Parts: sequence; C-alpha cells; structure tokens
Amino acid sequence: MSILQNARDTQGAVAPSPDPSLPPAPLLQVCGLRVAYGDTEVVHDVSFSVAEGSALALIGESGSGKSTIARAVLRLLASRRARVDGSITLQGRELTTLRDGEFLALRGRVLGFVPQDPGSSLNPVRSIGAQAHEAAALVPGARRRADREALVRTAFERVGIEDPLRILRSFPHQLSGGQLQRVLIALAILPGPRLLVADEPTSALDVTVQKQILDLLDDLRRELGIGVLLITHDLAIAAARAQAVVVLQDGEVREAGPTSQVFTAPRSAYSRALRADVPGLDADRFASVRAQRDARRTEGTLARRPGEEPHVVASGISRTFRVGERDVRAVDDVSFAIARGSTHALVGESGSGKSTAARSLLGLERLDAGTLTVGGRQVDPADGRGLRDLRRHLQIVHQNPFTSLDPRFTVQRIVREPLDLYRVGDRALRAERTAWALDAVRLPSAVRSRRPAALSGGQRQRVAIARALALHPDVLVLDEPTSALDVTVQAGILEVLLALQRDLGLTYLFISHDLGVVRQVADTLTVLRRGTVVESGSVRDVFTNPQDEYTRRLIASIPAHGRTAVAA
Amino acid sequence: MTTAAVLSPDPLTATRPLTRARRRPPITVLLSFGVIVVVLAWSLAPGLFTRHDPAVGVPDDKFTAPGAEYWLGTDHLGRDLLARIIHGTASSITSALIAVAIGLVVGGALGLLSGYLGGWVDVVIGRAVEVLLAIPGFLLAVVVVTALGYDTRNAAIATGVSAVAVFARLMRAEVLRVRTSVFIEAARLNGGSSAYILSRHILPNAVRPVVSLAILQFGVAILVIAGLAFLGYGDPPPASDWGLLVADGREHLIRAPWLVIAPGLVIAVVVLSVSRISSWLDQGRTR
Amino acid sequence: MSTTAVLADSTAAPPAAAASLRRYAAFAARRTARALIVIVLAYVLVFLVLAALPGDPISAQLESPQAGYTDAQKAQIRKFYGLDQPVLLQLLISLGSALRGNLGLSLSTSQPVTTVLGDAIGSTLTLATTALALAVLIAAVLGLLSRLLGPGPLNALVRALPAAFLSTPNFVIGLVLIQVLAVGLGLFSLVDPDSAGSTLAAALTLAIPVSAQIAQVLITALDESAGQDYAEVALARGLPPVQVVLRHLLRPSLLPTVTVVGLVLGEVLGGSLITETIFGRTGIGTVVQKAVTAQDVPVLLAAVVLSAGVFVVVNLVIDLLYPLLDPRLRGTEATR
Repeated sequence: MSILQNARDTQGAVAPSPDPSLPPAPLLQVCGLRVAYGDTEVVHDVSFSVAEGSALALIGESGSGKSTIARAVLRLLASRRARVDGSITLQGRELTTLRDGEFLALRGRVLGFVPQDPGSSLNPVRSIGAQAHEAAALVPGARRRADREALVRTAFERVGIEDPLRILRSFPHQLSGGQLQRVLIALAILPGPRLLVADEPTSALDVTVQKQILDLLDDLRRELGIGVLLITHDLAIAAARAQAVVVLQDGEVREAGPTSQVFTAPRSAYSRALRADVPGLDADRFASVRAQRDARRTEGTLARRPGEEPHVVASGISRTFRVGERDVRAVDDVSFAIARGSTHALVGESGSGKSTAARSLLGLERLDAGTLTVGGRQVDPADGRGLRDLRRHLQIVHQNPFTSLDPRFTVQRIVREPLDLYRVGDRALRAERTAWALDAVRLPSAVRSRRPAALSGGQRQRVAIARALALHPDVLVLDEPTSALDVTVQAGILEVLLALQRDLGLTYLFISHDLGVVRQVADTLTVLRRGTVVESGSVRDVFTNPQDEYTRRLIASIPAHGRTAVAA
Repeated sequence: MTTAAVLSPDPLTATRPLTRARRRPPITVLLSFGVIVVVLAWSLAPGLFTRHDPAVGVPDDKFTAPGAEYWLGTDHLGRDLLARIIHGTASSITSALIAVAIGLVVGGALGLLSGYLGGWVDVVIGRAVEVLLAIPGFLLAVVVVTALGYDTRNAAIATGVSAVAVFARLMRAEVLRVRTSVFIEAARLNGGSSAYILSRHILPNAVRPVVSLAILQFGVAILVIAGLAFLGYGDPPPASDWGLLVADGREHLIRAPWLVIAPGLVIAVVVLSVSRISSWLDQGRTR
Repeated sequence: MSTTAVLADSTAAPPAAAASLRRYAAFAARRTARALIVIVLAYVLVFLVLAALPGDPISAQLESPQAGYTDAQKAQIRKFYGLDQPVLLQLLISLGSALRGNLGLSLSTSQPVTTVLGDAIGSTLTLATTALALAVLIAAVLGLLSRLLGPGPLNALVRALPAAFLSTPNFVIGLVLIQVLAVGLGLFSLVDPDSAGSTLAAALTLAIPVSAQIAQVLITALDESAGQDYAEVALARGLPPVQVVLRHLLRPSLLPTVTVVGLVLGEVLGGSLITETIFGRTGIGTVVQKAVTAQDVPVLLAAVVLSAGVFVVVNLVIDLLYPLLDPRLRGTEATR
C-alpha cells in the first residue's frame, strides 16, 4: 500500500517538463479520425493528442464514439466492415498504414490496454499465473523462465498486489474486481508501454476501489512517464484525473482543451449540460424542486400532522443466507424510519445488503428477525392477501430497465397491467390512468404503442416508473433506478422522481451506491456495510460531519468531491 | 489474420447491417421456403406434378437413366422415380408432422411443468427425461415401433416419443430463464396470479426457441422416419416413402445409382431447407 | 494450463485440497449412483414397452398346429419362460436376474443373451470409437477453420458444411461411400466387412452427421469466446491472433464441446443399426435388427439397455471431468 499513500501525498503535482516554453512532441497524435461501419460513419473528424506523462480524457455518454476511438487507436475494431480514415501517429510513426504484422509489434510493448470490466477480461479457465507468463513471454528478450518470473514479480509489486504467489495460483473467479484490475494493469505495464489506453477502467468497481485504481494509474503515469488515454463517461473522474479533455457527442468533438478551462468555463452547450448533470459536481441540482415539495408539505392537503409516526419503519431486521457451507448475514439488525413524503437512502457498496433490505420491505424476502411496517401495517411475507393489499400502496422501480419490462408487451400494456390485475375501475378509467402515468413521467406519446426494444434506456426506466405509479401507491422503492443510465438521462429521471414526490407526496426508499446522487435527492440516509448499519442520519449532517471512517472514505471517493478548485 | 477475424462474434453476419438483415431474409432462407412450398404442393396434389403412375411401370423402360422422358430415371419395374418420390411425399411429410406434434405437445408440457413448478415435480420429470435421453433415440424409436407394429403411422409415433426428451429439456431451460427475469417479479408484485404469469409472460417469451426447435425437429423426424422405412419398419412396398425408395434402390446400387442418390438428395435438400429456416428464426431471436 | 498442472494445483495447499477432494468424491459418488438408477429405469422402461408386444415367438410356436403341443405342455413351456406371471412380477424377476448378470436366453437361438451380445459388442465398440474419433477430428478442423480463415466465401462454406452433413441421411452417405470407395475406386472389399478399409468407411458414415453436431457447438462456442473481453485484452496485449484462438478461444470452448461429444454418442450407437446393416457387419446394431425381426424380446431388451448403459457411463465420465475443464466448477460440485 506504500505506493498508494505515496500517490496521495504527491497529488496535484504536474508531470515535469524539461523546457516549459517548448512542449514535448506528443506521444500520440490523432488527426481527422473518421470511423465508419459500412455506410454509417460513427466517428467524425476527431483530433487530439496525448503527451508523455500526461492524461487525456475522452468524455462522452453511450453512443458518443469514445470506445470506438480507443479501439481504432488499438486496431481492435471487431467488425470487418469498420473503416478507419485519418491519421494516428504514435511517437511520430503513422499507425494507420502499418500492416497487421508490423502493428502486432506495437501491441502491448508500446500500446497498453486497461479494460472496462476486470471480471470478464481475464480468461476464466486459465490461472492468473498462466496468463501472466503468457504476457511476459511476449516481452522481447524474456527467453528464460526466470526472466519472465522476474518481469511478472516486478510488475505485480509495482501495482501493489499483496501476496503475489497466491494471486498467481488463483483463477479469475477467485479474486475481487479490484484485485483483477490490478492484475490487468500489471500485465499492461509489464512490457513497459509508453501509452496506456484505459477504457472506463473503474466503472465496474465499487467507489472506494475505484479511487485506489485511479490513484494507481495517476502514479504510474507520473513515475513512469506513461501517457494515458482515459475513456470515461464520468465527468468527475475526467476532471480529477486528466490534464486535458475531449468532450464527445454522437461521434463529434463538442469541446476540447485543458481540463481546468473546460470545467471552469465550458464553451459548448453540451459540455455545460453534461457538467450540470454530474451529481458529484452539483449537490444542489434539485434544490428548488425539493424546496417546493417542502413548502407544499407544510401547507394544504399534504401537510404533515405534528407528531405523526414515520410512514415506513424497519426495526432490527436481519436476514441470513446459506452460501455453500457458510452462513452469510446479508442484513444484520438494521433499523431505519422514513417520514411520509420524504426520501430515505440506503447506501452501500455491492454486498452491503441494501438490496436485500429493500426487497424484504416488499415481502420478497423472509426475515429472520425484526419487523417492517408500512403505514402502520406490518409486512408479513407469509400473508398473501395482506401482501396483495400492501403492494397496491407500495411499488418498486427496478435497477435495470432492460430486464424489468416484458419484451413482448407494448408500453401501454405494461403500464396498464397492474390496473388490470387489481381490477381498477373500467376500461375507460384504466386507459385514462395509463395515460396519466405516462404523462407524469413525461414519456413522448409517439413511443407509447411500441415495445421496450424500440425505446432508449431512459425511456424504458420512465415506463417502469409509470407502471409503479399506475396504482397510485404512496411508497416507492427505488432500487438503483439510474445506475444503468448515462448522466444526462439520470438527471432527467431524478428530476421526474422529485417532481412526482412534490406533486403526489410520495415516500421514497432510495437504494444507491452513488453518494453524489444521494446527496442530491435524499433527506435522510443509512450507510450499510456488510449487512450492518455504519451510520445514519440526515443527509446534511452525515455529509458535513461523517462520524464513521467508512462513511468518510465513501464521501471522499465521490469523484470530484472536494476538488472544487477544478470543478467550480 | 486480422483483428476482425479473431474478435467478431460471427464473421459472416457481421458483413451485413443488422436492421436490413432482419427486414429481408437472406437468399438461402428464401430458397428454403421455396423448397418447402414445392414439397407441400407435392404432398397435397401429387397428380399435378407428374403424369407417370407411381405404382405401375413400363417393364421395357426398366433401369432407364435420368433423361428427358424420366427426369430421375426408372427402377427395376420401369416405374418413374420422380413420380414415386412425389407420391411418397404426403406420407413422409405427414408422419414427420405427427412426430413433431407428439414431441412438441408432450415434451413441451413436461418441460413447462418441470420448469415452472420445480420441486419434486421437476425431480420426477427430470429423471424421466434423463432416462429417455439415455436410450439412443433411434433405438428407442425401433423399440417403440416394434411394440406398436410396423407401419408408417407407428414409425411416426415412435419418432415423436424419441423426441419428447429434447423438447422437454429445452422448454424447461427456457421457462427457467424467463421465470427468473425481473419482469416476472414485477408482474408478481403487481398482483399477477401464477396462471396469469405462466400464460401471459412466461409462455410467450419461452415459446419462440421451442418453435424453432420444432422446425428443426421436423427435419430430424424426416431423417429418422426415413431410416426406419429404410430398415423396413414403415409401410411395406408398393408404398413409396422416401426412406423405402432408398432401401429399394440399394439392391440395384451398382446398376442404377440414381435410385439411391435421387431420393437421398430430395431428403437432404428438404431437411437442409428446414434447418436453414430454423436457424434463421433462431438468429432473429438472439439479435 | 494442462490437466496435470490443474491436479498438481489442487494438491498444493493441503487443507483446502483435502476438503475439495472430499467434496469431489461426494459429488462423484452422487453422480455415479444417479447414473446407475438411470440405467435401471431404462431397463424398466424398455421392458414395459416391449411387454406391450402383441405376440412373441414362443406363443407363435406353441399355437401353431404343426407343433402339436398338448395344453399341458404349452402351460409347462409358458411357465419355463415365466410367461404365466403378471407383467410386473415378470419385470421384477427379469430385473432381479439381470442385476445378478443373468440376462436370460435368446428366444430364437436359445443361446444365453450375454453370449449373443458378447460376440457382437467388440465390433460395435471399434466402430463407435473410430467414428467418434473421426467426428471429433472433422469437427476440430471445421471449428478452427471457422476462426482462422478470415471472413469470406471459404469461411461461409466451412460454416455451411455442418448443416449439409446433418441433413443427409446416414444410409445415403453409407451407400454413396460404398459406391464411390469400394465399387468405384476399389479401396476396400465388400466381402470382408471387418477389414480396416471397410471399418473406416463405416465409421466415416457414422461420423459425418455426428461431426456436424460437434462442429456446430464448437463454432458457436468459439464465436462466443471471441466476443468476450478477455479475447480482446489478450489481443491488445500483443498475443498473435493464432495464439489468441488456440489459447483463449479454444480452451473455454472445450466444455460445451466435450458435452456434445457425450450426447452424440447416442446417435453413434443408434446409427450403428443402419450402418452395420449396410456394411454387412455383425454388431449390436445387427443383433437388434435380428431380434426385432424374430421378436426376440430378451435380446432386444438387453441390447438396448446395453447401449443406454454405454451412453450413461460415458456421459458420467464427462460429468466428472467438468471440474478439471473449468476451474469455476471446482469446489462447487453441488450442481444439478
């Protein structure tokens, strides 16, 4: 871990340049790059350059062409219909005209690659050792086994892998995502490349691990003078980790320049919108909607009676799963309470038990201990009729809108289904309610008779929310409702949710791993770690004065948090 | 070898824009549909396609090689081979349909119950399917046709029985896949009963791969029934089931190889067309 | 990583290895017990189906006027063969003696069934193993070509071949091979069906449709591995494309491929019926055919259950190999 601490100490330092007046020749220079699949051009006239020892971030949402550009540089475009035009030079050498055989010599040795999902980027049926030695054998001169072992050992030490012998004996499924990503980075730097292309290197990792990996990449860049081409959808990561950024949309460059300039004074409308939608950069994004909600709550029909009981109460709930021969306490004595019309967040990383807790509220999990009440009535998973009544008032929005909608139903039928099943009113009333719910989530009427496959991810999630609204529930469980979506889409969904809360007085249980989002939308929160409550309280208190070390780490790892110098 | 060759999931279909591929079936699929249309026409109205009699030959013309008068030649009794093939179509096709229907209905129902109910039902059905799979399919068909008696109808039933396990297994897998989908949980949370969820969500989503298997099994059934007919377990001559034609031709293989090759080719082309259509439907699903 | 290395791996760390070995032994025992049950159930199933037979040669002989048996003699003979008992009791008796290794006497030749099958099984096993080996070879060539040949018409041909192989009836393939190889080219003699040439031709007849099924699974598995991140990462690391195919695509594809090799064994055994007939061989297939013609129930029953037994045992071995082929399955053998 010494390397990591080292990295924190030297944060903010800039790569030394021998003569400031004469910038070094760029390591990688991309000029007028165009990539087309058949007749469809997906990358249009993109130019940028990466200097030795510096990082350039390609920022964009899905479909922006950022991954295509990375693969064009690495010559990894998998379709044979892909056509690449323009110029890509590496250390002054033109790459586009190289034959495959010549390019092979650059792969790994000059151009390194750090993939997005470490869990699927190592061959599952071969040991880490076998794959590490295979990589070492590609280094020129590493003829003898001892040479290769030395190379592997050095690289593993460099990336801070503890217990390398155990790791080498392991298979990928036995390691965590963070460990795997370290292995992959070790294998990438092992031949001593000059440029690392990192394609969303942390988007599959938990936030605390995310920070460690980004620190490691920063470190390698500074100490080894490696250039980094960082592909990311996360503006905050780009702001904190790159010296220069290129903002892409639909395969075109919207804006490019030094990071500080693009973030302090974005010139294009898209960059401004993108910047505004990053949760970590603007804690008060939805402040006005929430203020309106609070104003309504203190007056009129939605007024909270003084001394009213919380609407949702969990007290001392526990749930143990049996995994193989071990008992895993997924949820261990967790309590929380949610006031009517407010939002409570359950926060934690994967395996923290936040989803299990939420599912037990819906009666989907049996509890070993503790009680859950909604509106004063206890949730009993064994009472089918009671659950049916309960779920009229308590609905869920699932994490992944790509799997939560039946692909064979039309949008309207999906939203109408709960009304049909609960036999609400007559045909006309159901049609009216369906239309109302779809209006409420602001789904364009053009797509309402289509099937989910024809909809974008954001539109699908709106359909899922509309379905949850159809029965006029008063509590919604939101299970990571935006984690599968791009930031601009996420902002739209969050805005809809908050407006609904304002207008309908809904109570939300908001499950999330993203503290940035939680700070924007929640009133109170509970931080979970391995099934137990680490800290709970109002969002304001916890963020300004976290009591627990783990909470502090989580807050510190919100990308760009506390880096207002760049962000503001 | 290029990157595309190593990495592209399918080097063939990657060459075509996906949207267009969906709208217009590839030429091989259109040809396959053409073959099926011809075969169906043969079985519905064989008399329209040949003026020769399938049962009565011209002894003087025996063993005539394929030519202008007899397109596919004649057999040892001077019967026109093409006429015999065309008149044998109905029997070959119907029996294959019966076989598939048995496999689809019985196997599909077993798989559905097994996958949806789970528990001991799944264990019992699973064990039964395992036993059916353990007995080599063709041997099972032979045993069943032995018990039922030799004719084409019974051969079809036997073939259907030997296909039950395959259908049951796929249906079970599909039901399990769909059953664990998030949208099924959503329907349950919205108050859907078991019957509702099974009929409105699980079946419609599970049935497509099973239909594509049924089409594939139609081709397989043609082959198995032809094999049974070849061994003499179907209708006796003068019936002209395709497998029986090959068996008849076998005796004259050296003198008149077309008697084996022509019906063999007809079987192969029909089965190939059927499997092409099935795989095309399957691809449409996975995209 | 080779199989031996995997084994060496699992013995390296003693306590964990011992526990995992214990788990594996329990898993193997469970699987073996289940396989035995399946064989017994197959015996029951085939017995019951054949019990539905309308007649058998004994009854036919007994009732025939020329035989001139008295009613008492008829009853005695029926009793000797156990035909006077209810079907379920017959089943129990038959199953009981079968489990002790006594499969009864052939109704048509009066030889012990074990002798009849023992004389035939060697030829069929030779044929089946040769056919499977050929099938795996053909499938491996087609599978690798589908990846190593760049996109183009040749690749399209390689990918279309399995469907064509599968669609041609094996009796037509056999007859064409005889016509071309034996009659046309004189490569082997039709008189001696056990000659190497004739055996190879018969094995090829069986292998062609079966290779197609293996090839289809292998090609699909390779295509799937090719779409995985680890293939891209290995390529990006500078591993030559051919080695990416061999080391990163082929290895993960072995599991589904080995599985389908086990499953197609059924087709090889079933197909031997036709192939042995065509090539004039004496094996289980022809024994089955003769038994069917003579309604020789004990022989038919034993031959079919023997084939099922071979199938079940081979697939059991493959099941037990899974944890060696895929480390993710190690230590979690509690699978279905």
